[in-house]
Amino acid sequence: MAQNLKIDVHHVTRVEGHGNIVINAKNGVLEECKLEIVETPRFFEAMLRGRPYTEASHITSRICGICAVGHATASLRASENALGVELSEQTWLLRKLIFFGEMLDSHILHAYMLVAPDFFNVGSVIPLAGIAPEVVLRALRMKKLAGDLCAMIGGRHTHPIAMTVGGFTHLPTVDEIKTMRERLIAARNDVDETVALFKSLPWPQFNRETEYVALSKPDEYAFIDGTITTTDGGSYHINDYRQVTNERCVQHSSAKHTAHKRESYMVGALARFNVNYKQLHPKAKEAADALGLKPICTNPYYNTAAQVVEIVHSVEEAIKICDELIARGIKKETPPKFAGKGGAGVGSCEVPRGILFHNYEIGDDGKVVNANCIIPTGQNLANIEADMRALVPQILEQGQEKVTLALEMLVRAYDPCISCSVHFLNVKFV
Amino acid sequence: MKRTLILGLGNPLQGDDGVGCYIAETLQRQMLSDDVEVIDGGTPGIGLLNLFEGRQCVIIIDAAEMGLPAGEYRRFEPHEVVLTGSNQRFSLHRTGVIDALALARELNIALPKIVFFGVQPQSVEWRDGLSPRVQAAVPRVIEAILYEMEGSQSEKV
Repeated sequence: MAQNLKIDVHHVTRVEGHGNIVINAKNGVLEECKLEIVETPRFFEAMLRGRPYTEASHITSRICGICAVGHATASLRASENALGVELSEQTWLLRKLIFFGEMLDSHILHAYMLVAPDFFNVGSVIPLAGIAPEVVLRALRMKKLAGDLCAMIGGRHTHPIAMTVGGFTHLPTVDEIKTMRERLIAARNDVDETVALFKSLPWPQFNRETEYVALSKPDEYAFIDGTITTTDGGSYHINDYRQVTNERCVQHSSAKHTAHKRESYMVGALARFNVNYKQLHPKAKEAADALGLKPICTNPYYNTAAQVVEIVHSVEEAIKICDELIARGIKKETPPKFAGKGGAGVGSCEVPRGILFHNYEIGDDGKVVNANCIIPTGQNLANIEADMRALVPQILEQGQEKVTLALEMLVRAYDPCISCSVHFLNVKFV
Repeated sequence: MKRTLILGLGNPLQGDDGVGCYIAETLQRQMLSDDVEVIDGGTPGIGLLNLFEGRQCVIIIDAAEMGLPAGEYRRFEPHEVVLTGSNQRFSLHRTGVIDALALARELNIALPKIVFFGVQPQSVEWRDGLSPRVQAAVPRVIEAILYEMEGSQSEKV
């Protein structure tokens, strides 16, 4: 059946930043299909230039209130690699533990508050709280735990002030870690309920083969450091990230697009799951089974299911790290001082939305000379468009409303953080 | 748990949007009553609700579009105003304040007394630091906050 369709979703809701979906089909033929990004480009690179490297992680952690730990970690790893700073075992354990805290916080927010409303046929988490309060209360409970875990190590909620080049300026006590361990164990029940909830949701069925890119490590499910690995085969040292990202400007988006060997690739929880499935915690693998998720999964809507799998993994691994820290005890350590010699380095992490790169050049005076930062959402944009081009012809006959919802859900599935757009309050006195 | 929370919100990388964080940082260096905690909350989104738990009073300092000259500030409580996000949609970031309050209502979560100090920004473009007019307003806003706390302290007695 020939179909005409014109969709123009101005500002997709429940995603970060301003993205417009534009679809135009005539007589069943797709003429236009794009995700327009209309945010103002940000200028972090310029903000970092000329600033002491010790400030870089604090500045970049403000890029995002959700990925503050992720940006701080990538930033610190870039400086540490540039300056040849080695980390102690204890620092590694604490860095990993706070990372799990942020992974939980972000995934719970996305899965419960941004994606779940679609399946309950409500517009946002607020009406969802009206019809399923236990679901939202559970999400808030889990978010509190995750936030407290980040604050215990990072020194405060949202933006981690205690993380510094070479270590931490403030350390948690063993007693605090013991309490956190108990709380994580008690949260297993909520985690099980989370898997049960998401396994019951009718995920849209749409598959498109693409390339998945994630960090990987020989001995663990990689979140910090590793080798850039793709499901098309091949791996790269993080220093060679530009061979993977190949950033290019496109006319309809103020964010750059990236492509490796195909027209696009995907990063994020599903990419990590596809690349590193074998290294998931056994309980996370069980959750994947329950959710019907097997590598290589080519349904982008399942990115949220992969996040649920990572929620299970993060809680279990965080408990393991707490055990290790309790057994070792916490030792006071002094982060190394600047030795008066600059250098260049790349830091890379798997933040909740996918692989993130920070690349700094630091002068002998300890100031940042050059900085480059490539965020995960930028890397996903070309892939989202390729999905849209494949999906629309399959569902064109369902009509405007259903196609629009399917596309909005698709964009949301990628958990895009298009920008931390201008968001001050508007106040009207009554 | 300290009974009064002073919470600065905003993104210091977005010019005057960071005024709340700037004021929180300044207040952290001052001697305040033992019962007061000051947090530079950044852009916490809906997680805000968890920071309210167990408090008696929360003072939120934030940039607010009020149609006033830049640097003017107003004290208001949630029932006195209509709050909307700058783009009127559910988002993870600052509309967090609005969503957190709406969510608390929907879930019947008891909230502490909430007082806003809204500061009219001049510019929220991506840049570091406050504009001169908002910078100049900072001591006045701090004075007003300290006065507010004196009031709430004497309420307790």
